[in-house]
Amino acid sequence: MSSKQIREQKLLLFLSENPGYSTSEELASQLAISRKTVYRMIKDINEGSSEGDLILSEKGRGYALDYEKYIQSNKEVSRKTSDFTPAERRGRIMEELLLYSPKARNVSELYADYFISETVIFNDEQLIADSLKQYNLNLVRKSRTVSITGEEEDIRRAITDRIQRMNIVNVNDLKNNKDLNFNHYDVLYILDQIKTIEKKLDITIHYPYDINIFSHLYILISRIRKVGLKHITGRELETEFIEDKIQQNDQALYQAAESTIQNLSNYLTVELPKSEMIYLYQYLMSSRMGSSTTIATFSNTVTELTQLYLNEMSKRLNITIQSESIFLDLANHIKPMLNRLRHGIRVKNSLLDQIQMTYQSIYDQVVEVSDEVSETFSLPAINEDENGFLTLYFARIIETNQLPIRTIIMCTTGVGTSELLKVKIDKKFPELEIVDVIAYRDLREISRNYPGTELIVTTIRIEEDVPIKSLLVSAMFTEDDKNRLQNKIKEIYNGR
Amino acid sequence: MDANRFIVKLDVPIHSRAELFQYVSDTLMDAEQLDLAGLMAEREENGSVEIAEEIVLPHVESGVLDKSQVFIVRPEKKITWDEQIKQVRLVIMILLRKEETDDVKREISQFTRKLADEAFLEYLMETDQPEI
Repeated sequence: MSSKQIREQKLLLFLSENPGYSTSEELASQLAISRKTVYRMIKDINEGSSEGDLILSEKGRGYALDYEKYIQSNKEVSRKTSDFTPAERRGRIMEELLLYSPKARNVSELYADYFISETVIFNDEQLIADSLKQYNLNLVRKSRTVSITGEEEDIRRAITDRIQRMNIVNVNDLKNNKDLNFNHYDVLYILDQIKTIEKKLDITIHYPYDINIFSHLYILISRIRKVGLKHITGRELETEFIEDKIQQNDQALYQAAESTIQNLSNYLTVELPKSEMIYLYQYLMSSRMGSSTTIATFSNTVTELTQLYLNEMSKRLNITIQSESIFLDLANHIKPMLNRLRHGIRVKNSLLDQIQMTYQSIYDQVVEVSDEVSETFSLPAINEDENGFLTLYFARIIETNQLPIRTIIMCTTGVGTSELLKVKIDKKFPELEIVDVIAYRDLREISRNYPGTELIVTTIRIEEDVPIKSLLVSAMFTEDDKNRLQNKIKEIYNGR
Repeated sequence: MDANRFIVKLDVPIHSRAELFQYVSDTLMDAEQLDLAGLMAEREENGSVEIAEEIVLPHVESGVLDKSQVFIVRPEKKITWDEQIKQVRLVIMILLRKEETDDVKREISQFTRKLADEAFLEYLMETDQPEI
């Protein structure tokens, strides 16, 4: 995605999460761009939408998303192959070169579909070379040919990142996805292998781990088809050492890896080395698997690490986390995460943007704790994808454990509109604990009679000074009232 | 339970809010006649009494009342309530005596809770049975 597209995406995301109208100032400060750019972006988004205006504007109120159209337009992401952005074009060229590495490709053939000038090609090469540096790979240009050279492991890592950037969420979408230039038979074969693993182990491999294992196997097959078997030197050396260390309870995983690689060997008619079994085994043990029996025993490291996250986060978020089920849940995530870190396996988090925006403060705190964790346990740095996953665990803890807001409902008599309102609010707002329903004349007694009250929802205007937040609503409890109450709840949560 | 706690009157020939108050005070209330309009006025300045389309729930607690009662009055034709509420088909009026017992309060709030149920409101709008 180009930076403009990313910004547009962020704008839409922000509007979708903040129902009602947002002003251009708000949007500008959220996205760290000027108001002028906001206007221009909204114009572009609306003009580019086939559904009509996605973003509605109203004088004095700002902008809001037409939710139905937004959802509609998100469904139609299929696109013509001819209009790739420069970044996408470079991505595809790089992917092709990676898959054929170390073979050299003819430049004019490589760029045949894109109709661009030599200068643009030259520029592309510079940028591709730059992004290959992070994988320790080199782009080699020799007269009319170009190739990528480097270690096999690094090449596969680069391809993995590239594939995962496509944001595939459902592994079954791969079957019919025309945007990806995948070999259809290979795709079906691998999906079948993954199913076999799941069956054998009586587990389900969930998103995003299924995608991760898929890409791993797909890359292996593609590499062998295009350039024959390439050995991963680093992993080959480790093989024997690791084989001894496979724990008793992981035998089943190892056997699943073994038979999958055996199947692939037959499928490709190439004898695959043991290191590939180990590699796949590492992938499997790096995936969180859902099975009927959740693992309840963990190594010391996993236990300590999980506890460290829980302690540090509860300190930072100012909540108490003392639940066995939360510990188990998190530990079941941390165990494979630890394996990912140790074996250099990266799982793309396609929700990362959304997580960072929605749970910004939790995310920032998770990053802090993660830094501490990698230092304490001498682990490789915990990347943003992993921090994003962890953020979700804590966001969920907060959302399910958030203490309800002690609320009083008030009307003139305490038996009229307030009772009516109580029923309506009870149904819609589980965040509120309705302590009592009172008459207006009892207002002054609230602090004494109901200590800890945080909110008064009233159908009559409060004329006197009360040190408690209050919200005037109509007895009809309209949509507008609901929205205002929702905002009030947010305000109270944020103030805690 | 006091038989006169809840009083339902259907298709009453009244044409305005003032007539409604007059009617309730003169013919329905067990206690002596009262200036209901004056009693209600202050309440309504501070918040709308509309609880659903064409339904209002004026309610007041006052020391001048010596009995708590609920009146459900359906005018023959829609009446105008105030500047904001132009069309009213059903008036549910709650008069609460000051220092009322908890039992009576409970009885009344059980009734108001039912008003959150659309089906119950619909029943009140349509029924020809003067029972609740």
